[in-house]
Amino acid sequence: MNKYEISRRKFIAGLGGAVGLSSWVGRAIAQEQGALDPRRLIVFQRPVGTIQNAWWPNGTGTNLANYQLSRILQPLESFRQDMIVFKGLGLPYAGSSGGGHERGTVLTVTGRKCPILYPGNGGDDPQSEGKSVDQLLLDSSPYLQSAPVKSIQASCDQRADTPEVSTRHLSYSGARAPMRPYYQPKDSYERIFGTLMPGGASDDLTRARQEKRSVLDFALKDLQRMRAVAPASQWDKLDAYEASVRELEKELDNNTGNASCTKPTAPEFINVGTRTNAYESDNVAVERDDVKHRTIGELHLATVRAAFKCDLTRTVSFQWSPGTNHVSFADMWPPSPSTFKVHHTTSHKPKDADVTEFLLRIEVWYAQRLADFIKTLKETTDMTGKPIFDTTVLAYITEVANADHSWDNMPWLMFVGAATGFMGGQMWQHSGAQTSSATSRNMRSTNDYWMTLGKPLGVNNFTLGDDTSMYFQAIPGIFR
Amino acid sequence: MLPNKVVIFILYFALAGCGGSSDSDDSERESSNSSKNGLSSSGLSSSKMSSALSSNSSLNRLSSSRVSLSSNSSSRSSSSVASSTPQGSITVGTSNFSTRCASCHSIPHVNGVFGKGSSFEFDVKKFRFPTKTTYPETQEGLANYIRDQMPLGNATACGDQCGKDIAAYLWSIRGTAVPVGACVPSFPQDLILLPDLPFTNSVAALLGAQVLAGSKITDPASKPFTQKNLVANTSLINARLDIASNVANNLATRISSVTGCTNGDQACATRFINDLAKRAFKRQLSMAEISDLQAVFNLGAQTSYQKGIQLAVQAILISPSFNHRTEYGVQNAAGRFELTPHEFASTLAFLLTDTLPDRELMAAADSGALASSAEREKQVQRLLALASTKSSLEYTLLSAWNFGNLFGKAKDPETYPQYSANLASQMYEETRLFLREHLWSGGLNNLLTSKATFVNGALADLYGIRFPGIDRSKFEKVDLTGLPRSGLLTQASFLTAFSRTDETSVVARGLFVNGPLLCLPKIPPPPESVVAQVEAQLTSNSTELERAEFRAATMPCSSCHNQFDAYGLMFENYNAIGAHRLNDERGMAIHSRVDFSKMTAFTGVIDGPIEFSQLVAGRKDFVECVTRHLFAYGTGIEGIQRNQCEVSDITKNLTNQSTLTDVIKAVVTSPSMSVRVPEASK
Repeated sequence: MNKYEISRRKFIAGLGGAVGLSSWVGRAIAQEQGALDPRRLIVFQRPVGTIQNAWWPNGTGTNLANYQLSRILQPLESFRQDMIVFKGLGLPYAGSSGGGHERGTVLTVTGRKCPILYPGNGGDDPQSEGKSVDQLLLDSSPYLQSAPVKSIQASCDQRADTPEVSTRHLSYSGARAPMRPYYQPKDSYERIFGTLMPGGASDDLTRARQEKRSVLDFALKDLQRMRAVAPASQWDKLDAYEASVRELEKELDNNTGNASCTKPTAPEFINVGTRTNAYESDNVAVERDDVKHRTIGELHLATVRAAFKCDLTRTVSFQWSPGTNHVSFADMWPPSPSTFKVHHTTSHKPKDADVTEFLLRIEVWYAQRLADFIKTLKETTDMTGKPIFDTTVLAYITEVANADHSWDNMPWLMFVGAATGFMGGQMWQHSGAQTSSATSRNMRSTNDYWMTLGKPLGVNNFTLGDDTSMYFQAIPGIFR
Repeated sequence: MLPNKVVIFILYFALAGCGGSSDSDDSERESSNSSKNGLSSSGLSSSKMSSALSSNSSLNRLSSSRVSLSSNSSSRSSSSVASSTPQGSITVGTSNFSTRCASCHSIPHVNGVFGKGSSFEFDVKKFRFPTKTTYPETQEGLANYIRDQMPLGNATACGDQCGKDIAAYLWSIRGTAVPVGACVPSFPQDLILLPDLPFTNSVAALLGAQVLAGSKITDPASKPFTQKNLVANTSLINARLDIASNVANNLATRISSVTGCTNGDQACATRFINDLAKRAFKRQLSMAEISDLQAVFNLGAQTSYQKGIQLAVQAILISPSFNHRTEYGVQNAAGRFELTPHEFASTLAFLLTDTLPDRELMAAADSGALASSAEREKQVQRLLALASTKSSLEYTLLSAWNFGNLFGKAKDPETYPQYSANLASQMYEETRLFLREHLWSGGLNNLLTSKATFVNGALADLYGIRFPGIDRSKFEKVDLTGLPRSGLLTQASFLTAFSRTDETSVVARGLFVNGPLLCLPKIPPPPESVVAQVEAQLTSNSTELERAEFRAATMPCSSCHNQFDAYGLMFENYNAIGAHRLNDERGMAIHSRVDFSKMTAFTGVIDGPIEFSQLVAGRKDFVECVTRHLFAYGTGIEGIQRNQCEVSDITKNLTNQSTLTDVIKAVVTSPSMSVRVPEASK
């Protein structure tokens, strides 16, 4: 088991002018004393599935080296040995309700049946019936805990067909408890670095923290009083509130003495484009969105990378857009590159050559963004002095298999650093020997994919799903 | 001295502060008296008294032995006497007894025996009236007795309606027979986390809308149609912490104007903070809360006076008491829980205005006046006169009908080049103005049949009419007589929101009529076995009519689609952005006459949405459905059906001529709005 390779001298040097022991110092000492290296989990989503025949690598056997990567996967060529392509995954959708993207999103991230719809919201917006997989793993993984900010949710676009919940969220703290993502990169940055003072807290920051703590303390006292008069049936709601307040209180210890960690420059403010007025709408998709879309994504991911570097968080869900993606792309529509076509709506046009090519190009675009991010994770070292990627688990997912809302052959990838025991460079294909009865389509349940991630994150016997109709077991042969 | 548990033959109610009578002048007097008194004669505020009462669990358990009998009679009576009626309201009477009588005749009762309190014990099943009077031993006699004789030493202060309500409550305990099919309110006690819109609205109500500058504000046009089931988590609390911090920053330059205090005036700051907290918490403050808030202020004041106030404001805004409202209630004689006046004030305020009770409503709760149905109606009437209330309710109905679907609704630019997100917003605006015009004058069914609406230049073009104004960006009122349009169902907003990207949708439009418009039984989603078939149909080159014909002829599709496809087919003369057309995409003539013979709710042949709207306007379906929506919004019981007794008890006295005001009054005074039952402990 790896430990931080931090010399005492380096450790002290990293303290700089720190006042007292920061939480980072405490964690560093803990690691020196035998605690686990940090590992990281990123759920990395892109919308609207894929073009199946342009997704799968071409070749034979299980060694990905023997395959020619498809056009969509080409941008990921440099990371062959860091990834596994899974073919034959099916979403266990039986017993759930909701639309294609809506149900797909909730099922993808929770692995639980979602039979109940939100009232309104288009009538096809299912509620989650439990925590999302990132939060479940975070709860149980010794590798993911200890970071000051337990998890971060970021999204690059909040527009969807209706005011629906399901497509806009990848993380849930519990049933019907979506964890709202940051859309504004400046906000995700502030959450992570807003109270960070490399080298220790100044008097002003100490004072500011004391004041913020007094606000949270009042909330905790109020909670105590409310609990005294609340029926027992309502205590769980108060528990959830209290847990949240305590987590935020803990973030006030967000110091770092890590010499390798410097507070990055705050990102620019981006107008993330939300309709704010019923009549004077500014959400007119008559211009290209993809440039801004890319900027928002890259700024979010830069914050994530910096947060990993400083070990300020270890669990991230990153969403490019709701499955009903409203982003309009330029230079993608074959007949007219200057036409700004909207991703999702175009996906429901008859799949002629132009539509197919349009969707394919967008898939390539998203794959390229992923490749860019992985590259930065490989180039950036964390507190241990090793590349961040070495101990990072990244799930590349989407909520449907293709634009027709199929949930068979979900085009999911797994990118994991070798230090976790990951046996990358594989083309995994479902043999048909084990299916989930929920899929009943000779598909391996996507829940099994998630359960496979229990091992590198130190979660023994991690299971996901309401019952065995939704899962079988972790997929063997993925981690040593 | 009277022996314990003695049978009391002569009943004297020492009604404390029970002022007012049934007429409006007396109602005002009641409010005034109660406000002046502030506390019951025992010195306890009503909320504290209620709290003390509810904590007496052993007595509550004993009294619950009579639940089956008295609660049912309670529900029957309360549903039939929702407001000021000759019978009196058990619901209101229970609350009145709690706040006005219990200091002398303590509660809860044990098998009908009320404790001594500061005055007399009595057994409700055996009491008689003073023999020298002519009061008969009937509910009416008791009501008159209370009206004329109570409270002791201040006779007539209770008044007519007050007497009727308390008599109704006491009489119910005597064991009135339970009618078959009576509706027993059974919604559970609840702790409700305010959704985003009520949260930010409440911040604005407390401190002014300016303090929210720079904060994320929920657009009321896209508010979700749910008030409950939101669960706190770190992201939500952190988002509200950000708002609280931003509000505090915005206060920096406005401290004196917001607080009315001069810099350094600590007593003034304390008064401001305590008043703010009381309004924010929607109830009286405890001494501990006052002390804790003072401590927060003091910490900030070490930096500056201004900082102290900013910090206290942040503490209030992030506190769970501000972020929640409760529906716990106080246990009544029937074993159920009557919402306290403060809880009811919150329920009423968030239903009607999506924000905190205003000062007047809080005053009515503080005085206990809000326990009476007369006061509730008075408050409803007052609130409905406010433009903000009207606007809030308009958005609530638009949310109930899913018109928020319009935002983000994309259309194929090749098929509908004139369509844009801006046009969608203008469609929404037409319907909002239409509601403003018709909701508050005349019956609800006018929404289905009115020819008067509002258009700007773009919508006039879409409707094929001449724009009557000069500025094409402005909306003008128009009369669509002679055009194939009348009411909601022919407006572009509905027709666009419930269509697909490049063509209409018989299914979406049909489901809208079946669901949000009429609240008919819910249609289940298609079984998994036909998912692929459905997708194939949708991507086929068929017309909507051909797809509907396929579904009608194919099992298992027909079993459900026969119940709503006909609704959708009525609208085929309107394309996916609401423009009228005579021919479909292939140039084939569209026949607007639709056969409803396979339907349950309607029969015969109906010629398009205008005839259908006329038909519905002659019935109560739409009024009942609106009632269901408002009841669901107010109680947060999302799954409530129009035909459930809690709703049908409200709608039974409504007609196809009923107005929205009628509906709201009926909803607000319904027992189910104010009675809760314990939820099984988790």
